[in-house]
Amino acid sequence: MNVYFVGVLISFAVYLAVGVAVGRKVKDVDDYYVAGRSAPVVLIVGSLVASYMSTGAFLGDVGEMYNGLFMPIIILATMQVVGYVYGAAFFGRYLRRSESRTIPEFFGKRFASRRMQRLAGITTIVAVVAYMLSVMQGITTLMSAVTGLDYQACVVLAWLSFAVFTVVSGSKGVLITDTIMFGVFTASAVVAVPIIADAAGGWFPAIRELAVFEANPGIIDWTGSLGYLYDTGAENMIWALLYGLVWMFVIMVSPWQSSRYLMAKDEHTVIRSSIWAAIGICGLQVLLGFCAVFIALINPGLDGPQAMIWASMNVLPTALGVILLTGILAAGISSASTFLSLIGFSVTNDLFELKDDSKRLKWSRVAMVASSFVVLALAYFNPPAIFWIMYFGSSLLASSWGLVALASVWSKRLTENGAFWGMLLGFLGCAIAKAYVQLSGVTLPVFMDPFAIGLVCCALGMIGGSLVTKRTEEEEIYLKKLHVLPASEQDEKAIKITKRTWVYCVGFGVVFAILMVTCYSVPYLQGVGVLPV
Amino acid sequence: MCMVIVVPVLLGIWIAISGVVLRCFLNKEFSRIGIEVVAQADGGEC
Repeated sequence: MNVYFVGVLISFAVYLAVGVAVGRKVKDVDDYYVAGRSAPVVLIVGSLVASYMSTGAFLGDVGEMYNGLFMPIIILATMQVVGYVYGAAFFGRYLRRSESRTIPEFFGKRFASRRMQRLAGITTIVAVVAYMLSVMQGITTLMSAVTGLDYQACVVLAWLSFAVFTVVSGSKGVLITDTIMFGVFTASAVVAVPIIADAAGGWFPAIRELAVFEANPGIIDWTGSLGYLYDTGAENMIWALLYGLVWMFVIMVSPWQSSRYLMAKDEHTVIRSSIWAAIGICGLQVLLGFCAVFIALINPGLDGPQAMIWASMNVLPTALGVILLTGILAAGISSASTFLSLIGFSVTNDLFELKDDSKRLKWSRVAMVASSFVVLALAYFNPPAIFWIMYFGSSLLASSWGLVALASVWSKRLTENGAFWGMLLGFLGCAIAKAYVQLSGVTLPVFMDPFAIGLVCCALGMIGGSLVTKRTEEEEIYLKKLHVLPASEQDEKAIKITKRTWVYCVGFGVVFAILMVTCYSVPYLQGVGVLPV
Repeated sequence: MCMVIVVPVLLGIWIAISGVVLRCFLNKEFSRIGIEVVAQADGGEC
């Protein structure tokens, strides 16, 4: 048993202990589902970032950037983070105001429709299972590298790592462990990046060398490495912009992100935490991107998803390597625990109408155990494909939910029928297109990505469905009520603080541009000989 | 070559624009309930 394995086991024990301790304090269904609606900014930010930054980011994204998609993924990451700001303002606040326990329940209330709630519940479960599978495979890849055990044995270990404490603790435990894990992986990544840069020969010399890197030409070009994903820079850019949009929608409305707002203590917390989450995730992803290309310079012969694990075990000092690996593991576990709890809640709250609270708690736990077994079985037989399975789950959600969720708050024309058909066709359009691409082996043009097809189907469903029906009085009343600011949110001091948050956003945009030009553009241009060193 | 500089600057502007949109949205939202809008006090309104 090596030191990395010991570190991983200790971190497991800590998360489990916290989950069990918090689980004992769960008094009722609200505590279990939405953490008593009392979470402050720090817990919401911690959970937003931890749920987003899974092994998909640390292993999948880093792997793709290592392979040549550095700038396309930086563009994608930067595009998507504004989804926090727009999502909190245009959807999250109203979601919190609805006092629903799940997002499908919000759709059910908004359109006075059980079928809408059920459909949203089913789409949640399918998309979340796909996403959870990618996270599970990520945790397994990591466990396998750390322990030396075979993939199948590590799948079981990975499953044990998150299933037990999620089932026991509920949302409150997930919020707290998410925040602890957020602290661990953020701190370890921030400390690790300069050390890896140093090992690559120093930040600026490394970027200059990468600008003319023969082992992977174009690895840090703004177009990405040509021929890796698409043959032309324009196609790579369209892909980055399209998936920037996908992830922006995911961040705005997906259940594993916006459901965190249901736990916020008030709407001011929703807005404030969204800004810090945007800054945190953008900063982390850019740092990880540089990390990926520096590792490529040190050792260009790795398998992409293994890059971060290799660097932890071979480049960093042992203690920091252990912390970074436990941090990556924490990122995976925190996302998986959020996904698992979402499935449990959706089954008991959205698919079946259980009235008795104690039965809900019990069946939520049963549903979590059952769905975790399904994911365990899928992960057991599937080869690892962390990055692309994660992108499939997100595309499904973005194409079926994105437009419907925003229109459910802002459209006066969208009817229950339009919302239902929009969500259904968006989901089917994306899933069928994806299945066609996979089964036929045909490569569609980049602008005909399954997400784009799903989004068009969703828009057609919304328009067509709304044209043939009229809004009911119940729907009209609920929409009007949704736009009334509750008295509890009208504290003048709190409003002033919330209104100031936009400054951080603008400030971050300016700092981002300055740092990127200084730390990327200038050394790149020096490397290709346009600027003097 | 100039895209190497233009792309990061555009990304920074993209983030900054979200802050401006948020400012306009919050001013509009909170001005609806008769609370003094900071933007108005500053001499600007979205």
